[in-house]
Amino acid sequence: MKRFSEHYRWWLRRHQAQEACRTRWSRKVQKFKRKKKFMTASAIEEWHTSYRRGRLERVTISGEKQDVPEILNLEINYEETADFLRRLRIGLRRKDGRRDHTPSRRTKKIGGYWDFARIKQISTEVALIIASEYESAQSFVRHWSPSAIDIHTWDRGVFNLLYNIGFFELANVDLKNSELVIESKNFKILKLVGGKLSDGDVIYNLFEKLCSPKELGFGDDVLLNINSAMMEAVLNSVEHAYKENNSLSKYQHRWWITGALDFSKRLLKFVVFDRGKTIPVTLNTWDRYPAVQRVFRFLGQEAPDPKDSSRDGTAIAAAMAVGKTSTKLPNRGKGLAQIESVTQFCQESKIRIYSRCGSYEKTTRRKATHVNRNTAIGGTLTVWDVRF
Amino acid sequence: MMINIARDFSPYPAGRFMSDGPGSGEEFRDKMLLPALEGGEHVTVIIDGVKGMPVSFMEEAFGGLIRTGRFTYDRLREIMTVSAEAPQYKRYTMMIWDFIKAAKPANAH
Repeated sequence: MKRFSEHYRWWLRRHQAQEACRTRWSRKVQKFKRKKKFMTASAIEEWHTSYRRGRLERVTISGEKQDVPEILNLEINYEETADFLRRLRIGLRRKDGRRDHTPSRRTKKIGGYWDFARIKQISTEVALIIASEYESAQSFVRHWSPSAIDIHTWDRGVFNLLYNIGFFELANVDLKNSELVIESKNFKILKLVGGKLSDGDVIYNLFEKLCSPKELGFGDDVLLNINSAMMEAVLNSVEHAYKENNSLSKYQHRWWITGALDFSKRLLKFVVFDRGKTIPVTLNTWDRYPAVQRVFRFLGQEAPDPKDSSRDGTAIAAAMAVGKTSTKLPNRGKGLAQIESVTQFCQESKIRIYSRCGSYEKTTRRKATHVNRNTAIGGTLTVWDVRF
Repeated sequence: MMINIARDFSPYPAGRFMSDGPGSGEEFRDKMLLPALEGGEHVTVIIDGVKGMPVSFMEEAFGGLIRTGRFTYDRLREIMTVSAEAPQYKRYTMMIWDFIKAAKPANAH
């Protein structure tokens, strides 16, 4: 017969003594407590799937599920989208927020997460901003890797767009052989490219990487104009957006760019984004600022203070107007005019500029419009939509 | 003397200053254009073949010649030609001369 160890025999003696002392009532209380503890845990915690560092895991969520709007599109749902981007940026930069994303190895619990499964529609430009935020956060926080929760419940269109723009690569989610990835014949989007300097090699080849301009019926002049406009938008980021340290740019001085081709809508799209000082903030440092002031005086207003974001849309429109009319003076205004010139050379095209709390839109053969918004997008976003 | 920007400098003209990155207007002006113009020969700049032509590059490369104080608009008209064969580049030749005309010497007030 096997002889127990001395330690185990001591533990048995102690346990038997304790049980003998315990009353029937105290045993009932103990049993009830154990049952309650189990019920509470199973009622609150639900099992979720989490992709993290290339592995699929089952995790439980102990914190709050952060709300994400169903439609992430700056054109049709600006305020909710901009507010989500603001919350996401703050969450990713906060130490607590980052710790929440990192599940413990022992418990496999996640503190809180952004519920991307709620998203029904996402535009290319918003996908670019989200991916840029995650790229930035990854470079800022060492050894941090975000989790992608319940990917199988995400909308297929949203998933494919985020997958192709490189969002999951940034999150270290390896989906190369996954059944979730479906190649779309109607939609093509390029993986986001980021940089610090004006890299002509990257920017000028973006269009040809996406498609052959001649196959879409575009002439060489369109290719030349779009390339020049994109380069000028990137240059604005390089030269002006990160000129001095500011709260927005202290994390990463970079620009991001992507292109998308939608055959069903016959739409070609290019997007440039930076998280710099924005056009309304840098307006008073322009050498053409007196002309901008004259535009405001013509409108019966004083030029806004850079800290005042209530007239950002008007400030962008004034800067664009000065750029287009500055035939005598060179330098900075001309860059904005070239960014907008795509609308003159393409038969049906649109340019949208979002900078801090303002937006500006110009469509071919139509008057430009601008809107003063309530929520900032945290940088400058330029979008060209060209129909083919 | 002929300078083909795409062949002799870069097919990807990009920023204004050298600090902006490779292929800047400042780099083109200082390394190619100024030495050629100071050599005394007539200089023909060919812009065909570049993948893009941002205004920042054009203004700094050509308008910057006036800002050096070594040339005037009339003098540059005599010693320099900007040419383009393909129709899509022709408008840029006019823009370049507009930039030269609008530029002022750095010490002028």
